[in-house]
Amino acid sequence: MSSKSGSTCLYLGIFGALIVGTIITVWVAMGIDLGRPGNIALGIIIACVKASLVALFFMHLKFESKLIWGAALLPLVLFLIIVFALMPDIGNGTTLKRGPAVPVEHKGH
Amino acid sequence: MSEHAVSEAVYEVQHERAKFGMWLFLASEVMFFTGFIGSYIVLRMNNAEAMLKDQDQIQMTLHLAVINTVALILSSLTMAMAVKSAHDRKQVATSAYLFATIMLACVFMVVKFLEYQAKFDHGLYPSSSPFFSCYFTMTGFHGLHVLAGIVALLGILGGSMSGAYTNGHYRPVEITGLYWHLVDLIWIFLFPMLYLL
Repeated sequence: MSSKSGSTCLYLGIFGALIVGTIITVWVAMGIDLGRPGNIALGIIIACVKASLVALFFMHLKFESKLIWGAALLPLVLFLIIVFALMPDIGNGTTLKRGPAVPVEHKGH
Repeated sequence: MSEHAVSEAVYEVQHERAKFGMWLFLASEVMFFTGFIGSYIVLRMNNAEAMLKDQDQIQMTLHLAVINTVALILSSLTMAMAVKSAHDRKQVATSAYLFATIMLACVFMVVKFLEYQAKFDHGLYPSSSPFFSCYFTMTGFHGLHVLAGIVALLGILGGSMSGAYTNGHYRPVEITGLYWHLVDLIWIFLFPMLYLL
């Protein structure tokens, strides 16, 4: 067969790491104040680590050819390009400013 | 070279090409969500105060989002185990893990429905504010991807139960697994982005 298959222990370990990452993300966001930039940075870093674990082991990217690595990494490059391309739109007053939503009282059934 | 060896070599090439094709499709799906995420970043940084007030509304159902996150991560595990079982030619295990994945996906959809209902009960709709426009658009499209995944998994489960993957040709299971893991991957970013950060 072309694809290598991971072991059950490996998959369970990755699952455990994903759950721990989720717990840490929620705990830091709700319980620890690192300042907004700090919380955002840590949240993104943990999300990237979790995504990497899923891609490398659950999706078997670790064992794939360079061609598939290229297909997998291309959207990351394009994502970074889009995010940086949007930078001029931030803070220049062109985005319509709207207030928050106004919730109504709970509707009973 | 025997006929069997030639046939296996041809299958191997097709297998690699199918995986490459699926990875290209997954790349296009990532770009699809990149558009929404880029919009969210601009709106969030230009309307920070209002968006954060709306995020407080979202956090009232944070417990439901955490349940959904755990359900999807667990479904990724069961999907990986299903692919491994199909690779090892274990029909019963493959079918069981696929069934578990589908059940966890259904849990996700039910909880998402309850979340949406809670929002609608409080008069919060996609048109309520830029934040809720982003929230409903991104989670709505993600939910559609989950639904499509459930349909695909049901087809694969049918194949597994009829013994289609017991001869070592488990490509459909692996390809569907790749799609399902992407659905989990997208939620791994959506959950903190919309609910926590």
